Amino acid sequence: MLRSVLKRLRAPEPVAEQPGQHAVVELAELETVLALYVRALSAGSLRIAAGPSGTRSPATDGRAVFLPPALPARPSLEGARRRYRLMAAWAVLQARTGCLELAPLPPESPASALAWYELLHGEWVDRRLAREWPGLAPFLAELRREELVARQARRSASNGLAEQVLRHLLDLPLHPPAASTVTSELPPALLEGQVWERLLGALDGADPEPLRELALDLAARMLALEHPLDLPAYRARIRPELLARRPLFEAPELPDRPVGPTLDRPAARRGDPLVVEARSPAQVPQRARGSGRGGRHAVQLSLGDREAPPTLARLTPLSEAEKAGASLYPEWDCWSGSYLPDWCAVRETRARGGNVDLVERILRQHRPLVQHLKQQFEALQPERLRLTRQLDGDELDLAAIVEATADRRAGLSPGEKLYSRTLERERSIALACLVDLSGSTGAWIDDDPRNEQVIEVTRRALVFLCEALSVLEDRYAIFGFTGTTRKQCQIRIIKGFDEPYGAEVKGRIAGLSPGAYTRIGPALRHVSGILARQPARLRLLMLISDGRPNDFDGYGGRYGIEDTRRALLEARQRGLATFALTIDAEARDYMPYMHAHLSLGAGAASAYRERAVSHRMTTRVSAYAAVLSVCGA
Amino acid sequence: MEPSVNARWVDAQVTEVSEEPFYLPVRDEVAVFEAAYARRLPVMLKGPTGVGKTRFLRYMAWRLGRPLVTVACHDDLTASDLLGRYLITGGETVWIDGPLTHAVRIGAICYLDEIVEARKDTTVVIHPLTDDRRRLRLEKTGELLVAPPEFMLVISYNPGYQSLTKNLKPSTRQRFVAIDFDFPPPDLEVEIVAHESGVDREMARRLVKLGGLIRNLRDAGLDEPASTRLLVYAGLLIHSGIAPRRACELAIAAPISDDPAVREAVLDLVATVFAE
Repeated sequence: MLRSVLKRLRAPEPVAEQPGQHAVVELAELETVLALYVRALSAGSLRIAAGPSGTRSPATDGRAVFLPPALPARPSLEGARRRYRLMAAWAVLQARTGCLELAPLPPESPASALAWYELLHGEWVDRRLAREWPGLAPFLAELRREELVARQARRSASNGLAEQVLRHLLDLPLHPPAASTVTSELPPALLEGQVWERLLGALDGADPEPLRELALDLAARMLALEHPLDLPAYRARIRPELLARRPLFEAPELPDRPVGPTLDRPAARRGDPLVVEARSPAQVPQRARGSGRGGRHAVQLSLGDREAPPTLARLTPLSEAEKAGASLYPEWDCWSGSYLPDWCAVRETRARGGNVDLVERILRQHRPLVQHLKQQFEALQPERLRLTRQLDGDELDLAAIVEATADRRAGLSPGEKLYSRTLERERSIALACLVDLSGSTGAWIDDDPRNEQVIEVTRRALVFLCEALSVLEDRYAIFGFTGTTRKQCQIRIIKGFDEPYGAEVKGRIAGLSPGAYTRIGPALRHVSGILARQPARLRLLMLISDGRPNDFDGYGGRYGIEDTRRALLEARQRGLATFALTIDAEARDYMPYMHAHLSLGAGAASAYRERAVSHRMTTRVSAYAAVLSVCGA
Repeated sequence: MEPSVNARWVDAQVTEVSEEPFYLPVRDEVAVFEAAYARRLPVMLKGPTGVGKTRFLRYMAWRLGRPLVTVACHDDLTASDLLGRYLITGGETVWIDGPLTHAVRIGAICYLDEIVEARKDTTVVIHPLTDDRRRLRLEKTGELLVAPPEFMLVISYNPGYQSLTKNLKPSTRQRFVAIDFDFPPPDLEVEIVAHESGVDREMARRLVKLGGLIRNLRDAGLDEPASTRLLVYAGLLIHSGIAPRRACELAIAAPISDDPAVREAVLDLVATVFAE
């Protein structure tokens, strides 16, 4: 024991420590290019996604190509890139050629038949790939040789029939038709009934259909494979469980919103926009903390019918300590029909920074879309130019006139463009974006097949907005709001009006995290105050929220909606243009009451994008809204 | 009018197509064009760049035996540039016909290429020529030209890359018979690439395959994907001895996009279709 320890101590550092040895190429680095690559090869029908960590080989479900999240950089970075490319092309071809239709595989010995089929169709796809995309053939042949050498070096599994077949097939060249190649030393089981000849014939065929039959045949002969066969890693595995999931992608018939002991459905059916569910306070922090999938099921809403009139606590003014360092705002009490003066204490803080990579990743993933948005926004860019030598204009262009006169004197034809014109560009727009960071934004969007959290959609929206606005000179600021009770309303500054959109702001967007409650009213009042002080001709206030106003101390249901509505009215009275976007399908029940709004729900967004971004994006407001709406798509 | 000056000014745009240009019809466009010519209807050629709109028109001009007057429209093109203007030569003022006026006078096919690029007010001057009046009024000379039956107006229009601000007005576009052009079907495109560049069928087939793959990126960051023209250029380079991959890189990947990701993806596609 001791000796072995000593020995180990004396042993040289493991090679693994050498730099470069463990270098990997991550899918994320190549994602953008590979996504385009797959799109091109599959005529737009497949997308790429990272498989679970640790996967070595690709897989496809006919909708997406799942690639390993990382590949070792062997023999070089370029080698890993080529391997990714080959994997992607392989999976595309597999999905495109109907290899994934497994229907005739038998129910009695499915595992064995499937394994045989995987082997045979793998060989078939290899050959087909080399023919279809000859540029990949040399690398494919190289990998096949490596595979064969590695297999021959491995003695243990050499006795299995499948293994022998695979070795024989790997030994055949890709290019000349397989049937013309003579192979010796075949296992006798293959020589009966001309199986081998049929196999070689099928490999040259244009259709994977005969392979299925052969697989059944071989499975029947062998009953079961001795060992699960280890297939070459560059090939996309057939994963019946993925294929079974296919209908799930097509028909969004997910189980409906969990209906627990809640009564919110009947309430909604009553058609009363004011009756909204209020969560019981105990549940909210739990949801805010629970970032796992469980959060989705934790969304148990309880009926908040017309709740009780103000409690005693709600009528107590803020203490001096609670007021310290805060901006104070009144709140509209719909029960009494009056304002409660100095009711809410709002404090500003800088938003915490996060990992900028998250933003860069969003940009990488959506590069074409961002590019498109930027181009669209460029079209909004007013030109401020002194245009000289115009056919018409506000002023005479003296230089042109002098020249024309001289030309005429000289007996030449004078120019006709004698005017100049100035196109005005006023920096007269200020946009304040107010983002809901309450705990409910940690919830998962139910009707979205990708199962994203609201906060993720919000984050993406902000990135798109900032990117698109970077081509314009509009001044804008982004604030997040959250808080617990009226005593501690928080405004987190994500981007100030005078801050540039750079690494710091990106970091803050990346660092957005769900907080506690949604007390919209005071946040709106605070930000509209800031916005109203901005020197601009047009001031826009945009609210991005998942909808329901809600706070611990009875700020919910009708009370919350009424106060929010009042706050929005106040903003408009101050001359601000307001609009709201919600990330919540249910919001259409009550949002119109507070405000005209746009839904950021998945379906609505893409429809809106089609309409707004391409055609009707004539005004700033609709442009901003369009940018934000695409984030759901 | 002084003929020499006039001739000098417009000659540049007038071509008599004396040799048959190579053109493979994709659908019924030849018959449609001939019918439009016979019925004196103006024609609009719609489609992305490099799919053969101009070639088609040269072919039709040859077929119909009419001279072709081509105007490449740009954003500074004015009505005078089309109709004509007074020039001063040696103390004398001379009226010079613009290409459109000239085409009307000689009964040519007048081709306004990329009409949307021209200033908005410019497009309006063609309106009276496009309806059944077929007249052209020259305000400055007070002349009223009536187009002879041989005169034909053709515009081209690329709906793809025009920005929002540059779009053809409905009042203009609805005066034309529109012939849609798109990338030719693969078999035909192979013929075209092989003929135009001189490469063999197999090489042409691969170029066309590459083109097809790249065109799948049309809405993913590529506004104008690899046109037939680009494939022909690549073929010409290959025919001159440049290695296929390098030729495609030079003639297709580089011109097609400045976006590094798109370019890289296109290079990957090149490497997929062509071995070293």
